[in-house]
Amino acid sequence: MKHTKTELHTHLMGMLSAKSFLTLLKSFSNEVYWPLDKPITEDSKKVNIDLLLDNEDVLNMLQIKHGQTVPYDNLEQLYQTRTQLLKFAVQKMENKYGTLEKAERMVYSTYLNACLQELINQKVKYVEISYSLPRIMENVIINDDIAKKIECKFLLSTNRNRSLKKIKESANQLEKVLKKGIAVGFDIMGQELPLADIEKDDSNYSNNSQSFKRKLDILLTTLNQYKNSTLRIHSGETKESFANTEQILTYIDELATFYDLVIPPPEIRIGHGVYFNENDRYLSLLKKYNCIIEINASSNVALNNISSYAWLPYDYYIENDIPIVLSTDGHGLYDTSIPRENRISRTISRNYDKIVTTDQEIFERKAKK
Amino acid sequence: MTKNNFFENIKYESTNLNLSSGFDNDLSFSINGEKLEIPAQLTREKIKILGEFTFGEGENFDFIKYNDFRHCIDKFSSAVDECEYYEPEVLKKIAVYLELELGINISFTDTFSRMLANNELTEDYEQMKDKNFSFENLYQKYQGQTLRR
Repeated sequence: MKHTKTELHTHLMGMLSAKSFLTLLKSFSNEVYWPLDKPITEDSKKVNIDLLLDNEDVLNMLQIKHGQTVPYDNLEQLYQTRTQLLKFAVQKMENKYGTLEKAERMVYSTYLNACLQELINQKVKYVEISYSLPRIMENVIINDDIAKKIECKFLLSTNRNRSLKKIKESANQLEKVLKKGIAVGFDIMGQELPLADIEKDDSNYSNNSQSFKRKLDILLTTLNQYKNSTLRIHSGETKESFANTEQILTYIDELATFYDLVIPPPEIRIGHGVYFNENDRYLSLLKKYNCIIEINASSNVALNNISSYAWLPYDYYIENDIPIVLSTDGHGLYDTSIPRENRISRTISRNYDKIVTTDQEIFERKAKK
Repeated sequence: MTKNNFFENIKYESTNLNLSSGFDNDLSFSINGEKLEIPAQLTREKIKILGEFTFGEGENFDFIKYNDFRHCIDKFSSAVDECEYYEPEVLKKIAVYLELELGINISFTDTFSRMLANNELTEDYEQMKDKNFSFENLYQKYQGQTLRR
């Protein structure tokens, strides 16, 4: 049976499956600090990794078991645990190889190749990975045999609450990795909060350092110069954020008009898009900018943003001619896979064949650019 | 690699304070015209701090700094969740300090102004780490008393 072959919404630290993550750590150290999921203190112990590999409770310190739900705080703890474990491995390798650069290259290359092999096993052929550090993106080496089977690009992630100064720095960093062909765009992420009034205040635009529109301004005008770039915005993930996507698209529309920009580029993708104002304006903005919606079913259930897959708006978008893609949001952390996300959509959507066709079109457009 | 500089962030946010003098700073915690109460304000800042540490600037920290901040932010987060047991102004000061370390917009602008006027932002993590960097020590520093809880 045909299924989709792209993975357009995943985060580097959430990719590798839990057991493979522990197995990977053994490449760098026989022991790890315990407890695994807490910062190290004077009371922490060391434990042999072999003792942890088949322990379900330990694996659940690195993943949300499929079907279970956790609050958002737990997601952050899981990410922090994964991040800290890789930093632990880097520190071990730095002691061995002498430089941080060599240690990071060894650890993150090994990690990335393991993640990509898992995607290859899921028959994925193209992936865009969100991550915040350009130096890691530039430093990692993808093995030749892996590179033949899957094309890997990065999105430079930037938190929506960063200062304008940091966003400008991110834009400068992005230009370097865009020119090298390593990254293809930005990912605006972070837990969604309703925009504060000051973030929406345009009355003194050039002096308002908290203006969300000013942040979009910087990112959009950077990406508009690059033909095949992407701007992904995490939006509409929670009930509280239902108004955000339309507000953000309105800002994009205002900026495009002000600067006389033709968009795309960048390709605008909405990460999640589960909650929204169901009205003609929302649809017209999505169509005007050829937006694509990334549906992450397992992630939405795991974080209790929806109580059932039946809530997912696959058919609302497809039947209103808005393309959607299926993605995992981090297949290891959410204990899922692209085939599983396909199975979920197949049981819920009347338009599964259209999802696969759209994915094929996107793959052909993006691969080997 | 771009270095996140605590003191450069102070300069930048100070400039923003001057530029935004015409703004109603209460808008920072006003959602559709309704002002948040202090516990909700602290929760909102906690979420931003956690987010930038977990998915952004925190990824740039080395292993030891990451561990120190993870510990501190865990305790800060718990304190915000139980903020009735803590002095709100001290928690606001810790939020301002963490936001300067992480490069996030300062929303507690009045607190930030007072901290600048009282020279309470003269040390960053690099200068504090050898003196046992922790939430408890930050609380003591900004309150002036030993944390009992």
